[in-house]
Amino acid sequence: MNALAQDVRFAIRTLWKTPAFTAIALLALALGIGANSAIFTVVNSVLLHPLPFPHPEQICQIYTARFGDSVAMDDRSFVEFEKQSAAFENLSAISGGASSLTGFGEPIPVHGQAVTTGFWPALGVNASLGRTFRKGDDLESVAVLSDKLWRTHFNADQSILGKIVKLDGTPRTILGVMSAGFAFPADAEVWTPLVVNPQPGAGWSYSVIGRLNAGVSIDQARAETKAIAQRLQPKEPHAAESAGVVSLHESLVGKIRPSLYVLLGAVGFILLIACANVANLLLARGAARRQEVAVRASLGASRARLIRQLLTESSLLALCGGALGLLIAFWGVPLLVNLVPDGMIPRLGEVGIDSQVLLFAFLLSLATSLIFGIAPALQLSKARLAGSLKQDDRRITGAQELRSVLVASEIALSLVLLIGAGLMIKSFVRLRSVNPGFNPESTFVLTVDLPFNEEQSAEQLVAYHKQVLDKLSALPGVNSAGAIDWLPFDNALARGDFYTKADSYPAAHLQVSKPGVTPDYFRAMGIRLLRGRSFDNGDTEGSPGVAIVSESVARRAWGDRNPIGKRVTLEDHPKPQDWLTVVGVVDDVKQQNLAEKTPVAAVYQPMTQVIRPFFLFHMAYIVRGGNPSSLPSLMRSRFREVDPNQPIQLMAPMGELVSATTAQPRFYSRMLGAFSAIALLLASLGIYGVMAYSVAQRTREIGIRVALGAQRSDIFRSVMLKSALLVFTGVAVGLAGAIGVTRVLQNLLFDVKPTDAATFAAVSVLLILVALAATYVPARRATSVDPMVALRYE
Amino acid sequence: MSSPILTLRNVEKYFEHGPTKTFVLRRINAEIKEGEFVSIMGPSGAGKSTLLHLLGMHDSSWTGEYYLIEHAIHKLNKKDRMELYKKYFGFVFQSYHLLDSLTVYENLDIPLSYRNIKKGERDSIVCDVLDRFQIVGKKDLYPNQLSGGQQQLVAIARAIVASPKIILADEPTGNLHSSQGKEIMDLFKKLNEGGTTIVQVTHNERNAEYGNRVINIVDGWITDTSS
Repeated sequence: MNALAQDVRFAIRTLWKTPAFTAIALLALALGIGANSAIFTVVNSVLLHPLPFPHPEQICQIYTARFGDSVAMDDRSFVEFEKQSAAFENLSAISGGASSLTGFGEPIPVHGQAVTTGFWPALGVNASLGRTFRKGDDLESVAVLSDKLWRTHFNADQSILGKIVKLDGTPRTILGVMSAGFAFPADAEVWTPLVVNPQPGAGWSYSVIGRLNAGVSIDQARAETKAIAQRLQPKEPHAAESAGVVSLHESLVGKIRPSLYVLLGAVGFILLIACANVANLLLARGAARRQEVAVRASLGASRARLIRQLLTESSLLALCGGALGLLIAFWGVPLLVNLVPDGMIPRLGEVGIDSQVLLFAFLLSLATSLIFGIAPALQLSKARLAGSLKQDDRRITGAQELRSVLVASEIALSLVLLIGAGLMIKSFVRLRSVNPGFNPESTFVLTVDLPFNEEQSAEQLVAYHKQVLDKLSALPGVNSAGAIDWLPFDNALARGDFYTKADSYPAAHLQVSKPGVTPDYFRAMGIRLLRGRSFDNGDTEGSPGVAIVSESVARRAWGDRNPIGKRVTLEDHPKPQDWLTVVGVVDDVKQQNLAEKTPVAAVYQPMTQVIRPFFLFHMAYIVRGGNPSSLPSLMRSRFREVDPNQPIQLMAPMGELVSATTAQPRFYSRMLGAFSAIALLLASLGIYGVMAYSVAQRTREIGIRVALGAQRSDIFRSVMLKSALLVFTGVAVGLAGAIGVTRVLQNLLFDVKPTDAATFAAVSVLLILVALAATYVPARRATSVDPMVALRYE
Repeated sequence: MSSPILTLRNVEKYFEHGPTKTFVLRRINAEIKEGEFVSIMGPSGAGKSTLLHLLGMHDSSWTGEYYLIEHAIHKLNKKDRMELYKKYFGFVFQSYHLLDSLTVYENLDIPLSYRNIKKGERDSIVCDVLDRFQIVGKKDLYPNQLSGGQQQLVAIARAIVASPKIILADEPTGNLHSSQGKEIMDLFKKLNEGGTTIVQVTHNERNAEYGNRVINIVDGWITDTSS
């Protein structure tokens, strides 16, 4: 212990005496450890922390159907599961809930979730004020608020319980307020009861959660779920395959796990590069400390003791770097959280630095000290005593090879990071250049979610929307205005089957979106009309049914034949009046994101001919033209003239909605870009340091060469060639590594292969140029060596 | 004089460059008895310092036989050699080689620390040596705050702090002026009179007169040993 204290004391003094070295080393380590701590903070909070519920390992998501990445359970299955399941003690169905709150101050949009009464016991949560709803309550007329909504909209009113607000036009009594931080699922702000009541001819799908009964494992629950699912669909041989159980934690974070680990890997690379840099600095400094180490050995220090002392210095450096890194993390984590696009990373509100992150930073600092400290310690401690202690010894240690290996490693690691960033940036640029099928420029959108009212007819709703559109069309500078019930890129899409006129269903019927639109919609959105005509004021509820199809529909259904005049229907069991005549063909439009490989086909109807009022409660109004700075407030005030109490869900330029779908690739590009910029800087400093040291070591040799007649260009060339050899070696190793490593980016890339040759080549050239530029100053310095000074150097 | 404390038989050291060998020491046969004060002399490049460092076990690439009392050094591994070195030797360098980041006190303490002596005992020994060398007032100073002579004094104090039987000194007055050098040689004499065997490398005839024997080396050969 005493010897350790002695070593620590000496280490502090040694580092204090060399402030430049210490500062540079601390900076490199702080960047590496800080970046790792910041990303680990997110990984820890999102992936490693259990969910903030009692016994979270017992809470599961149960499903009987899969849709791509999503899972769900239909209403009939849910009712049967509630009766038959022995594995779960509480099951709850969850669906999107209320979206507007009125009757208390300014009408506002809210994130509502409708949940069955089993929701609260399934999660094991209670209200912090009042209570949650349960069986026996009048479920049509109650609601529970989130703590955040209670504070922001209701001023943390302590007498909120029993007050009545309108959610989607329905009066509801506030029963309770949840505890701070509870917003499950999906940042919910208000919870209303969901009553699952399957009806013939209609089916709803829900997200279903449940709490395992005591003593029941998840495997047992899974087996039971598959068995029940098979029983419910005896004629469907694959029913059991589509059913399953997954822990709620996994269902929330499973999709984001690979991406977070990619980011963690990227910052790991930065740390390795920082370690190589610091190791190089230690090796350079070691040459100056050779004599000191030899003296210590001659005084009786064993090699183990010397190594221990040197590693104590490394540990002290690493721990101080780690402490600075934690400061960087404290500052960086909130910044990072702000940069994350909405909805991309679940549990983001729980992200924060805790004791586990501190422990991680501490252990990482210790590990880092070993990584960068062991090689220099081993190298220095085996210094030849006799050579180092003699008065006139001038021999150079063999550390130069090790330094060269370290620099080549830095180049290799930097190249891998840079290639990753290059691929992400190329993917992002390709994605941004995808034609969405419409022109988002100079286009502004306003969306509303009208409160559902069974008694409202489609005609009444259409009249309402027409009133709004008329007001918006009259705004100064507006060229066109239209409306659609399912706006592209609006996170909502209704799909269904459509059929061509035939006696039997054709083999190739398509899943299409079925939006209802106003006549000027296509003009307002800038969607090209390819054939036929757009809808007009003659297409009313009483006139023959018409449809406009997208280009892919026309191609799939009729090939090269002219679709104008053909008949289609959107009904499963069509009556004669349900057949629609195709009057026009428009461009395909990306519906949900720019990366859609196959366009989502669409069959448009005039809004006046939409027969189900349900589809007309959610509406998007689009205007093209107008002054972008004044348009939002004008649109808002015109809308208020029609309906002063209806909250506006969304107001944004259409371009913003499109950009939002590229937010994730933009985020990854920015992150990897920033990481690789740091890596490139560290690697450049590394190569500069090695070459500068090498030139200093070769001063005598260079002086002799000049005295013997070497030109300055010869000296310059020899230094650059030596550097080029290091750089090209590093690049070759880096390319091999990148081919293996970039595969992990496969799922994050759009239209770019992980081994894209152009990116590999361009990035390699960039790195070579930067690295050679870092060599330029030492090479110039070498050419200015005065042989008389150099030869007097000894 | 008593029995031999250091014995070299047919010791040679050379560097190989391809097929050729460059000898630094050739067939060195020498015996140093306990309590002797021996000076190794010779022209520059003769191999004096090489021989001294070999005796001090700083160099392990040589052939022949080397006996430290009854221990056959040539048969020992590095670890065992280091243990014997710590037990028997103290080394004084021409350039003092004090550790610049340590105070005078700490420079004296460090050899004891490397011999795993407990702190209390170390403190006692260091204080005793500081007192003996009359440098108590300088114990908290750093080497760069001392004159050359004071630094060499501290270096000698460091060399004897662990009570070695043998002191090896490589040109101990080489970087000092004559009055400082005399003080240092007087100190060596006193240590030798106290029973410590001293082997020094020197160019200085006057310094050699402090000893009782001279070993001359020329071109790696011992040419004569004279009293």
